[in-house]
Amino acid sequence: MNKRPYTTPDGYFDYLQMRLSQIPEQQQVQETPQVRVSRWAKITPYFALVACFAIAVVAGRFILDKTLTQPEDDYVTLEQLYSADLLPYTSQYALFDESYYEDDDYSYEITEEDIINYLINTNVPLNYIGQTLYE
Amino acid sequence: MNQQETTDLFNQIVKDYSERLYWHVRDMVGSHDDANDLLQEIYIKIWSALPSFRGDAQLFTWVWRIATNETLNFLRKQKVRSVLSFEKISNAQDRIADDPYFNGGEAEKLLVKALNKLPAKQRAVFSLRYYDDMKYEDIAQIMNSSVGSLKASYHIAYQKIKAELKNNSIDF
Repeated sequence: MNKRPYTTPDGYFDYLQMRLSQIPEQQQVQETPQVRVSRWAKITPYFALVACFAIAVVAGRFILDKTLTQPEDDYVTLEQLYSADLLPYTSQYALFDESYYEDDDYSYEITEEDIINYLINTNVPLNYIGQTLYE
Repeated sequence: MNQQETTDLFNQIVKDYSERLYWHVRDMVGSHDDANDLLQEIYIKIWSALPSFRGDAQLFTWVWRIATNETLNFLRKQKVRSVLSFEKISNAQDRIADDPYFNGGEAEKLLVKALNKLPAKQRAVFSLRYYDDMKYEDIAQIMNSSVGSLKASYHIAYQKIKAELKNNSIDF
């Protein structure tokens, strides 16, 4: 056997043997006693999870039923929506003049008064309006 | 095997093998501190596995197999750690220079340096054969290998060490 070129600290092997001999005691302390778990105890969490899910679904359905109101007459609602979609929102007369909708043919005659109002609203000078209309 | 028998057998293993096992581990890892820590882990492993020891193998080879596998795992982890942390494992020359428990001359220093350059398994085979003078049949059981491949492995390791020492004008 060839000699190794190493040494160890003084008394190391006595210390090593003493330290290693303590392993069984240390390991037995660390080992936790096995607790026997019944089958019911194992499946209880799964039952609890399923029950929670079912309660959440039922409660959610109940709250939605109570808070969401259904329209009583679908036809009226659709008609309102239809009218709203057709509203020519670029026309100020359509927005403010109810008679706009009352006419069956939706025709609108422009009067002289309408022209004067328009010219006044667009800041055309009054003398110019007078000259234009009454020449 | 009851608890008392297991404890008695464990204490017998500590008494009979701890010193030889220390040297085997020390050959593999190089430093005293690493060998000291690793030996504790190895004996904890032996204690855990002892109830499953069926006596099919010799107790000696069974213990050495656990120790060798644990040491190879340690060296593998050390290598992975060094790669991941981008830290180079200090080379054998530096370790020997820093080791207060190295008492060899220049030739032994170069031998250890050459030994540490070998792959871990070759180092294990060389150490078991060269320092422990173990039979190839026993090494084969420990390393779970064939006698033929172990002889080849030892020969390769021997040639590498010889070449390394020859570069420094030392005959091996």
